[in-house]
Amino acid sequence: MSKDYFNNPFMGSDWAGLFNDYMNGLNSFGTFVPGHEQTRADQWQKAMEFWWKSMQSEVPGIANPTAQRLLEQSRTFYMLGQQFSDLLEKLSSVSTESSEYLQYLVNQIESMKAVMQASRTLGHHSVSDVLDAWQVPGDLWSHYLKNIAGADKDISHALIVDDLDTFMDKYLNLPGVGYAREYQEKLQKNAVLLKEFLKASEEYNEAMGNVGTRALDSLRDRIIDMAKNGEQITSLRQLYNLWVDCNEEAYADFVFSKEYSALYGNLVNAMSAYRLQSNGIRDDILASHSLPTRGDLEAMQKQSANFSKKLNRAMARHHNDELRIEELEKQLNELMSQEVTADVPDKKASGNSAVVTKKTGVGIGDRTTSRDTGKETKKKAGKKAAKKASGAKTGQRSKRKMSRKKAEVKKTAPDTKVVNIGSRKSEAAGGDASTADSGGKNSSKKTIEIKF
Amino acid sequence: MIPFQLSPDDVSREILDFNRKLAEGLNVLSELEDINVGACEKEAVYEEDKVVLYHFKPRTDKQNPVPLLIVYALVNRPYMADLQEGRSMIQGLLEAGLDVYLVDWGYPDAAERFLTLDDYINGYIDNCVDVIRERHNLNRINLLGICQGGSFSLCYTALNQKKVKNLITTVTPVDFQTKDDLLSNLVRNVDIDTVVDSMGNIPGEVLNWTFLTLKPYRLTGQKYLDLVDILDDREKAENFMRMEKWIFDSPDQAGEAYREFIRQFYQGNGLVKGTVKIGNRTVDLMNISIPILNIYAKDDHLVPPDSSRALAGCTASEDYSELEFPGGHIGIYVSGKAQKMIPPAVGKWLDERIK
Repeated sequence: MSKDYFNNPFMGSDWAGLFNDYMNGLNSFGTFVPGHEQTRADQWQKAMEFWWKSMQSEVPGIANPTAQRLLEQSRTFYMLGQQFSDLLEKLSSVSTESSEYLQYLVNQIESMKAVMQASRTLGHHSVSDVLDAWQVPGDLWSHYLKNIAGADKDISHALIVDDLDTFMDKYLNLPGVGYAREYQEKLQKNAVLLKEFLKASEEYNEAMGNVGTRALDSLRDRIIDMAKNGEQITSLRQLYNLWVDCNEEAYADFVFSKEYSALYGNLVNAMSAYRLQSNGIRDDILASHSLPTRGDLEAMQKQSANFSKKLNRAMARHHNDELRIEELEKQLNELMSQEVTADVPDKKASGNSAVVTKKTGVGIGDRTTSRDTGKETKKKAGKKAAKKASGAKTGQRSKRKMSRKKAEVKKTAPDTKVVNIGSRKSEAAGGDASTADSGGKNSSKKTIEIKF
Repeated sequence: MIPFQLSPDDVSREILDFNRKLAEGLNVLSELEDINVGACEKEAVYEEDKVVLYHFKPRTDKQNPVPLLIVYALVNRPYMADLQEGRSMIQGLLEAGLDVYLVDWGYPDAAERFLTLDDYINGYIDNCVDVIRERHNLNRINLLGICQGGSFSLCYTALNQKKVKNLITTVTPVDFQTKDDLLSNLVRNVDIDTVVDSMGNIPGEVLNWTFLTLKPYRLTGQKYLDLVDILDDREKAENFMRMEKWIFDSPDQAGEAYREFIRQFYQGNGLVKGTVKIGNRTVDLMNISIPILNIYAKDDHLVPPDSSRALAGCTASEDYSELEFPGGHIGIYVSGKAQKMIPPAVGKWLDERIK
């Protein structure tokens, strides 16, 4: 790290002298041990964190992440205060009506941008963490990477692509040989994919860093505009909010672009491809130890899903069949329970058949039959099972009734074979379900043909 | 004129004051107990796999005779619609005389890896609709979709209109490629096959990360600084934590359904183009001719108003209305302003369409 870097006013500690009163207030946070080369903002942050950790174990889980985020953002607030107090100190010697402030403002913004640039050039962790505040999207990505991408640590910052290139060129030139040739090729491909992923990650972080510098330009311009309009910044909080607005604006300008869409797509695709290849290699290792692989699990998951679908379809059919049978039984029972006053004609004249016209009053269009496309479900299946169990008795009762009726019919028409109750209503044929809202009885006339 | 009416001493005092509030606030945070959510009494009336259909206890003597099923999105949890007393859309709907049901998708795990949109829409939603129809002895019920759940409701209605009487969509994406749709720009160049194949189910944290990147400086920064100002008020602190709990309570996404949704809806913009296929059936929004109330939020950064408003003209409904809420994607459900505006409007609109 260059000496100029530490001489940069952005990292200076002159501002610290202005806060002696504040330091006394730190007693309320418990023990405080100042660092050697830290800014005051760092020190306050550390003091807060120290205090927080001392009581963290007492805090309910739900509040812990929030408190952490709160402390992190406080650091941003401290840093902004530090940077602009430096500027304000210089402005205190400038006439309020002069435009001399402009050069100080420009210099301050430029120095902040220079530090950000240094951060990117030297690598993320080469400079103080205080700069994290200006790199929110990049940090979000790092956090995501650690948790999701399958990396054991934040590899996007841990490896330098240039160094990897040298290593990779040699490695990838080695031909695969012998028994493990295929495995070696897989590893080589994995290394290539890792390299592409790291490159994409660097490009993403680089682009996000540019957002931060553009936001500082925007902040400068807005402050200048405010001066032109006679508006004033009266609190650090107001300045902070303005800074957030500028960052969001610069960020939005970038992320809505085609360039960003391509950058983001490239990053996610590279990460996914690397992860997919790594999965395959892990599977090879697991398989070699006779352990279930990810592929095995997915095959079973898929099979399970297919079984589930087949089962649902079968149960839906079963459900509809049950409803249909139930309905038919009901209709049959009603028919059989009615007094059949068949006017049996002379056998010779009628050719062994009789036609009885009756108002049956059978409600065929029961609403529940509309579930022709429904999927039977586990719970419904349970219900149906219970219903079936109770229905079994009904069925037995029906059978008994039928026997009685058959006996009665036999008395008057001993050769009765078939009872045709006509066609059933079908909603599946496209009937408007609303017409069955009442679930009412269908009182249409039915023709009952009794064949002998 | 110098645009700073601020001295280094002023900054010093402000930071001192900020730290005092921060220290006090952290104390308040440390005293918070588990945050409860939910204001309305409900019972599970149907369960299937991890899906639960809840029925909320009515709050009025007389209800609209046609029950209302709320279809929530697969992302985040549905208790956002019933967060707490006074911040509950469901509470408002109940008080508007509606008989309310809600689909809770649960937390998908490996068992749900190969669930498809067909399973969700023609499976779970259809079964829930049937259960409600059966309970009320009705053929058609009212449907209210929330965000992605609104897109699902549109698909469901287009495929099963005979079971839906009135449709309400809230902050629902219809045109997935409007120019101000950041999510759309994010996924445009993503190879969704490789993503799903490499991850299986999509971890909830991926979604958290995605949503935070929509407005990273506000959502990961400014929000917490603002929190310092309200931490001295325990009730406000609890409300903040309740929202925080909801925001980060992200279920994993069933891999296949996620793949289909991103590819067909976002990348293919299939809902407005009429190319979305659910199972083996194509979704044609022109099949929808029932009354539609389309509610969108003016300042929605997740589902831009233009995305929702695209529904006008996409259906064959001759009774189509829009309602603009002056707020954001979440505010439409939890803000005080929303409580006064949205549920009564929905209740009135449905009451006018009972027959």
